[in-house]
Amino acid sequence: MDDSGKVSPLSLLVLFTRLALIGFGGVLPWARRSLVETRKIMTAEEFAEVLALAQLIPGPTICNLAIIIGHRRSGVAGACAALCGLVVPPSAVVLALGYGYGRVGDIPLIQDALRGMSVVSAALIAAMAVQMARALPIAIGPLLFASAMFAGVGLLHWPLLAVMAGLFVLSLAVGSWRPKS
Amino acid sequence: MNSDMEISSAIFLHFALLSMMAIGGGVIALAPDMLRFVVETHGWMNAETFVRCFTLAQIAPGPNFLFATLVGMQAAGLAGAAAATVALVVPPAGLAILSLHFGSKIRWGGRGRALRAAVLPLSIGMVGTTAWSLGTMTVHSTGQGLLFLAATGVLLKTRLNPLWLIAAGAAAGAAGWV
Repeated sequence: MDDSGKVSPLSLLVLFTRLALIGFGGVLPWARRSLVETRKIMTAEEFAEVLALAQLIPGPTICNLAIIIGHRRSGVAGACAALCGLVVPPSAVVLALGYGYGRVGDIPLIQDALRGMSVVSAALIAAMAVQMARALPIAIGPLLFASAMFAGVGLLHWPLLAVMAGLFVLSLAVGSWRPKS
Repeated sequence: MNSDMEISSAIFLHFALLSMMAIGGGVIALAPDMLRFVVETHGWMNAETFVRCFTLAQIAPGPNFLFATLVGMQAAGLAGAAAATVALVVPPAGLAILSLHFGSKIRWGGRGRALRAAVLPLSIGMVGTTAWSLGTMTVHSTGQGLLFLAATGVLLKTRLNPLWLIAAGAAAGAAGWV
């Protein structure tokens, strides 16, 4: 990073490639550590602000994060470089893994091991849901909307897009109608 | 629909639409809908294969949404893998880059906060749905249920790297306990 806070597209490409390839179990937890604490290309405040924005705009959060940081440090070229670094190398790794599984996946021992790993990866998502729920303000409204989303898509198998659109409008309406606390 | 190209285009269209809906919870939250699309609607793979793809992507480095790459590969080879990945990444990225480049600096007043407050419960519900659908597909025995509960508990109570738990799951599976 030079004095103006600019980072070249090439450095962004390398930075996000490295980030993606060490990011076992998801890149987001590693992103903060690397960008804020190790490489110091942004402050903790800027990271929090960028993360909030990245969650709000459509698309995978981690991609949006790379795009916003890349764009701020090096314009459109930076955004594309950061995104490519994040997505292309790990895609190749995942494909290789899939290919390998296609070769040896029929071996009973591997089937057994994968069955055990699948249970844990389901638990990973369950823990993530609980951690996200802990961040909710303790109030009847948010709990109701989270449960309605779960019931509609998870239990009743209604189409995601319809449930999401409907609940989003309702949730926004309720949120803006409630007296400010 | 039989040829890889036809399957790939169908995957591309559906996943691109889904990705534009991925607000807050990320693409993990879309897994149940993807599963329904490739398993129930089209029968390109069975649910077990879908879960295997999800698991393989979890043990690989990189963004979590790359499980979709494997789902695409499973359904239609390399063309399917490319279609799934590009569909998830490129349309929202194009939108984001265009709006960052041409839009005025987005201002974060009460409106941003209100949107966030409205979206957060829905994302939690969606991630909960993903956990539920993966859980019901992977847990069929008491041993698996215990492993699920133990792993969730450890993840919530400690800061242990999840890879160790996945390794423990592999060992438990290989040993024939679950």
